[in-house]
Amino acid sequence: MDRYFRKSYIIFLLFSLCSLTLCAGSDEECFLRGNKLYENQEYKDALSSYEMVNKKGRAVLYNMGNCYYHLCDYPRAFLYWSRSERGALLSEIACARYNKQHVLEKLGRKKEEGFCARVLHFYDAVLIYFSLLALQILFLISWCMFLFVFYRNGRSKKLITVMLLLVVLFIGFGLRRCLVKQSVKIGVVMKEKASLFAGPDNKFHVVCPLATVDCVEIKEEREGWYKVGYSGNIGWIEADVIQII
Amino acid sequence: MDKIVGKLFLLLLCCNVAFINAGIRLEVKTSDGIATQAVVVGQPFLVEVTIDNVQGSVQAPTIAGLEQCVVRRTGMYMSSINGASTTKYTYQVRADNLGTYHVGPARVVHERQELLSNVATIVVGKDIPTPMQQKNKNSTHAAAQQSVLLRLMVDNERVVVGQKIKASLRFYYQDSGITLSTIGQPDFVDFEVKQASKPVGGSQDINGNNYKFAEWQWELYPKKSGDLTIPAYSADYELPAHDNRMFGNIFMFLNMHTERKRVYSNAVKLVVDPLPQSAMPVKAVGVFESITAHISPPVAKKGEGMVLVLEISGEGNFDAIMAPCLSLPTGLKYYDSNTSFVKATDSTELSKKCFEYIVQGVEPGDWEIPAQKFVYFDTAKHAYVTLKTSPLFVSIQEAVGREDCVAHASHDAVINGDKKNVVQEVIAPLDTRGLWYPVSPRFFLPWFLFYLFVILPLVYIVFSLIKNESITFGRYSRYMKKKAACKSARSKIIRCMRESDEKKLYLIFIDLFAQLSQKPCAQISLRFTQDYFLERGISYEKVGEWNSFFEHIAHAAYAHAHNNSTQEIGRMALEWIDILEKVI
Repeated sequence: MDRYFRKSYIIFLLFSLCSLTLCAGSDEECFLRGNKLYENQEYKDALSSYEMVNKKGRAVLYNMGNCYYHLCDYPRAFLYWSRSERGALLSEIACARYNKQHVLEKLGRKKEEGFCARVLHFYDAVLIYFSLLALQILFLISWCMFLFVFYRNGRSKKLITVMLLLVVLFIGFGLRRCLVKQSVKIGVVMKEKASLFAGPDNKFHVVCPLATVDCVEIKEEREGWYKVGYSGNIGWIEADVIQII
Repeated sequence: MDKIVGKLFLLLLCCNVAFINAGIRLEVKTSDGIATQAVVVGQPFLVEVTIDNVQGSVQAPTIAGLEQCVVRRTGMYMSSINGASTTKYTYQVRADNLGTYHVGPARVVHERQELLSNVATIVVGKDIPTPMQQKNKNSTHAAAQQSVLLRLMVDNERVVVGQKIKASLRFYYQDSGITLSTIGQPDFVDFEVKQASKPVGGSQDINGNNYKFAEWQWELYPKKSGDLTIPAYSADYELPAHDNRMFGNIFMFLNMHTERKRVYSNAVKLVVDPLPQSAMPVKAVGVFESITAHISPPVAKKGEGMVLVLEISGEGNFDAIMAPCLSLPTGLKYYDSNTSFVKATDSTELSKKCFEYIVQGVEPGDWEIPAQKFVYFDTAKHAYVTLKTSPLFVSIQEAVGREDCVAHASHDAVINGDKKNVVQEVIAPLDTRGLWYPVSPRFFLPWFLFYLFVILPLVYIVFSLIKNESITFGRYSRYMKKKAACKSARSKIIRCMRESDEKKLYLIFIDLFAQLSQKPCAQISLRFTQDYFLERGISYEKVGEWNSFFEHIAHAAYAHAHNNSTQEIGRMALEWIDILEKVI
């Protein structure tokens, strides 16, 4: 009985391993085929090849954005580039952002980045080098140090206290950005003309108009409608108008 | 006998031929089947032609005088007994003008024999009580019949062709038990009728009676000029049947519980004027606010599509507005694309209609799309108005080969922000080295645990701070009390010096020590004061001085001996207060 069980267990393990390897191979194959088709400027075929990848990584998403761009579907290209930014490296984020800016320019929606936005981008670029766990540990250490110094403060230790406070604030702000990125859902408006309604029905008055590739912050979902925030306004938008990043 | 029987049979045959003779008659009835001669303008009534005693089937009659009215044949009924049949043709007729009409004769040719009916005279009036109503006044439901009204109203009775007319229909009722089944809409030939809104409820006093009503509103657009009539609408409603018979309730489930009734509204007469002559092609009738145009993207390659959107906002029959023809420069061509309509949700907004065009550049260069014109008849100004868009500017670039469309910009150039080296039209290249599979996020402290770790040291420190602060505060408060006691003693001593009364000094110091040591006055003695000073590091010499001073003031207090050196003792007392202040 034991022998029979062991045998079937080994077979099962081997079978699982083979199927996983095959699946992985198939996904990689689709990715490489998509790249090849893209190089041959067969964007539609490349896109369907990328679509066939079961679990899409950021490179697949980014390449899909490129395909949509060449097929003149700019909102979808914007969406896929935005999706590819999650967990990406600095160089990959730079490429995706450059492409997104280009699409915005094409749609006549390009805005000059303000000082704050540039600072935030720099900040994000610094944060990429740290894992969330490292940030959390760094924060806790600096926080404890700050409290200790603050508690035992003599007049000569003021400078150390201030420096520790700055470190705590810097890391704390980074952690907050990470938390926001984890918890907040962002949607991209896919239709050319959309409206933000005061309630979850077309009969409600229009709060403000929305245009393609406008990003909205999703707060709630209800029966085919999303409650979203957009440039200080809060309203409702039909679920099929936006795509979640 | 045989002769008599034969003659009788012949007589019967003659009688039969005489009595069974084909006949035709014409009757005017209300829609409830009651004969009448007076009808209401715009309300339908029935004309029935009955052809009796004909063999076989008979064709439909032609009725003279009906051409002045709107006629629709609604049915044919035929019954046959012993070969002789009765055929009845029914027509629903509507007279849209007031006056007296002569309907008939109805003419039928049957077996080469022409049959002619009588001529009926109909008086078409405005709100003439019909016999049906008169009859109903006597019926059990007369009151209910009067308590139901249907009124048709329009906002404007003189309009031009294509102008919007807001019509509303109100169903007034008094009895809450009435159930409205259907609203019958007449046939409209000369009007374009839009869909009615959802009913709105309300109440109104008419001739001193309070009526509840349900109101529907819709838009009408006359299609031709002249005197037009909006025919009467009908409303079918159900009245609850009141059965007062004994055991009526037992059998009521076998019968219908309601009685169905119909009420007609008034018809509305409109004068529709034709549009004045215009040299320009007129696109619409109404009141329009603006026409705007925008094109996206303003820069495109040769052959690439750009979307031009014309947006017209205002009030009018948007369904009738067709996509305007664009006037474009020679370097551009266009195709019609989507058309969308955004209906105004409330009275403060205007409805909008958007026309999309795909514009293609045929020749490279900078082109100006001239202002697009929209001519309409303004119903508010009663004149033709031309709205114009602003001119648009587009730039058409030479088409680039397909190879050039693919990104050539290097990753490094993009990453370093060296965008000068990157051609404006290209995007960053394909990512062939990145992760094609998703990476699960790395482990991190759950947020609740993280917050706990953040809060714990803070709580510890805050707690210890509060503890320390409370001790300090307690100490501080005691110190302040002692300070206050010294201050009070000092002021009392000064007063004594002013009054040259040294007797009080003893009591002042006893009281002061009692306050400083927080003990009752009875426990304060010379020994106690000595210990107090010694505990606080005062030298023995000084304590000796204190002894002599204390004895002196005690003597002054109890011996009742007057001393001239009050000022001197007072000064010494103040010195001892200073010492006490220092050591507390």
